[in-house]
Amino acid sequence: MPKKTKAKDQPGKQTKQGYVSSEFEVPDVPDYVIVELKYESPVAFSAAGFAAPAAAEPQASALNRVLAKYDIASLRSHFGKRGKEVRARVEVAGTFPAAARAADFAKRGLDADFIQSGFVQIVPKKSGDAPKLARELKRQGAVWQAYVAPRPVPAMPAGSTAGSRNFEPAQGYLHAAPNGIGAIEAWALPGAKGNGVTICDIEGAWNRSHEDLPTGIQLIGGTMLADLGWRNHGTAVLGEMVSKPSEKGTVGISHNAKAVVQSAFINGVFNLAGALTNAASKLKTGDVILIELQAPGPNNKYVAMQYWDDIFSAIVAATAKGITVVEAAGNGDENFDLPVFQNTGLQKDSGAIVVGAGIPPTNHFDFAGFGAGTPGYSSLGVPRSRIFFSNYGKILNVQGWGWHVTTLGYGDAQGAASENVWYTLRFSGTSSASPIVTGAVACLQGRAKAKNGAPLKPAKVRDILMQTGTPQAAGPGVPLSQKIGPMPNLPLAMKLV
Amino acid sequence: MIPAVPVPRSAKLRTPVEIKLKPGWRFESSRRVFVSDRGEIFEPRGELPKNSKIVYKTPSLVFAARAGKAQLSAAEENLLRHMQVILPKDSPAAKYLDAVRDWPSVAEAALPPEVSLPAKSYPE
Repeated sequence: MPKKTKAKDQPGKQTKQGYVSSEFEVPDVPDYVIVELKYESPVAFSAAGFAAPAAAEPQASALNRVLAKYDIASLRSHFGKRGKEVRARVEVAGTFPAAARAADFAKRGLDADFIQSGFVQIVPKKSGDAPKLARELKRQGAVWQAYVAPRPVPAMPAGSTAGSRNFEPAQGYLHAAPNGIGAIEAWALPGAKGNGVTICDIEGAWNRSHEDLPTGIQLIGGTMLADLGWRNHGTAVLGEMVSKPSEKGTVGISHNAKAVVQSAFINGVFNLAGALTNAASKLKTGDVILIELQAPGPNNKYVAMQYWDDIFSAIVAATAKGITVVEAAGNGDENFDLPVFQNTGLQKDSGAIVVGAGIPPTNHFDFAGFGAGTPGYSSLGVPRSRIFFSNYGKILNVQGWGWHVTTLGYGDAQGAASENVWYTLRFSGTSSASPIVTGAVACLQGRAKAKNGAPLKPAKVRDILMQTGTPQAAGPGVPLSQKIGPMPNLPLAMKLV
Repeated sequence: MIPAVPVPRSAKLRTPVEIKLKPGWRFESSRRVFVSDRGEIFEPRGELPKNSKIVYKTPSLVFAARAGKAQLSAAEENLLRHMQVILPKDSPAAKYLDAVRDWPSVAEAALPPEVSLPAKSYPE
């Protein structure tokens, strides 16, 4: 049996067959020999070996002598033909002259059953014997071809060892305003790739082994959930901010920043206040915390986590330490300015940057939609207007793309056996919007450190992003009074650093 | 449909009772009693099933406060009032909510928010 091997041991290698998939694990199957008997050879076979009528018996015996030299695990029809079907080939083969020509076969006509009946699958117990067995069998008179069966590789868009595909052209949010946040232009400034800034993402799970993430992303507290959905989400969030620049995959908005992660699940229970406090204790002034969570509020609609008193206080405390907290507003289609939220964290300033989901230029459904009101392939609305599910209100500060964000994970853009090479074109929600803003904050802070020798205060960061951002747009059913705020415009924001 | 990715059942997380202490009250974990600045003591023994735990949500602040290392801000002081009553796996928190709410040391008691991720489930 061959050892299970990883093709990634040969990154970027082009074989005779083509590029080898980078993360595909070769299945643990044995090497075996495929023998194609000549059409005109009246030889049959069974698990015991080859057999033939008296006139052709020497052909069968020669084959059996070769087999006898090896320890054979199995011998059977390659196409799963039954014994009766295999034996039937003897009669047909006997109708051909000993040295048949193509014209003879054409004249008689050959059906698929007859052709397939001549394919023999021979599995030696030692995989290393397969090439020698194939060479010897090929020399026999009854055999047209004998060869070691090719080993399988996936026929999926899994990238190759030449590298995963390059998805950067699909990262429109990096582009200049009004479509994107102008990250690419801002990167030309020293420090503006998030240099010297640490971002802490707080949620529940991540694939920190993804090929496009920097190595060494540390879990600084809490316990990760063992769930693919949550893992894809965390990976997608990290990808927007810190995926590595290269000729493959995506590039993060603040790809020179350091990322760490903190789970909101501590001691087997949800405890975001504890997670925030722990993260803040391990970060320094100028760093950034991202809250990627939501929960149902009093109207049973999802709201931002600062609604809860302890979480609000934890955000205030972190912000007071000079750490900028970015918070997803949530996908509840909820108005935070309603009377029911008076005296709650949804009508007070925690110091956080609260992020809504705006419609990107790629503004359509490409699936069944969200029901009758939003059928598949319909338009989502006007770019930079509020997406129908985004929460809104006075405490929201800025928006990011809430739809079709290209990043890591999920595997709809590129799949494979390994999650480490999965990419998506469809990360959505205030989940996808918030890392865009977080990345922008890291870029600003990195630039501030490089230019001024010190980071900006969180309130200043927020003011700059709101002041310089590309304004929110109105759309049908989503007036400007449903405030989510502007989308960051980094080139303009950098001028105020 | 509103996009959300709930916590999977397979995570087998426990649901605690979340409490906010009345001003002036604290929990002494070594004695498992609540103590007020006025010297009142409340011992929740018998109120909870065996193997229940009462923990601060931000233990690092408790240590900092006790050590006198830092002057806590108002927000941190407020955080120090938040605790969790973590019950054994087979004890539903809702069953104990009213009893905990009646404790003399407790200003508020509630079940925790049902947290989820603000993204759409995938695939559709």
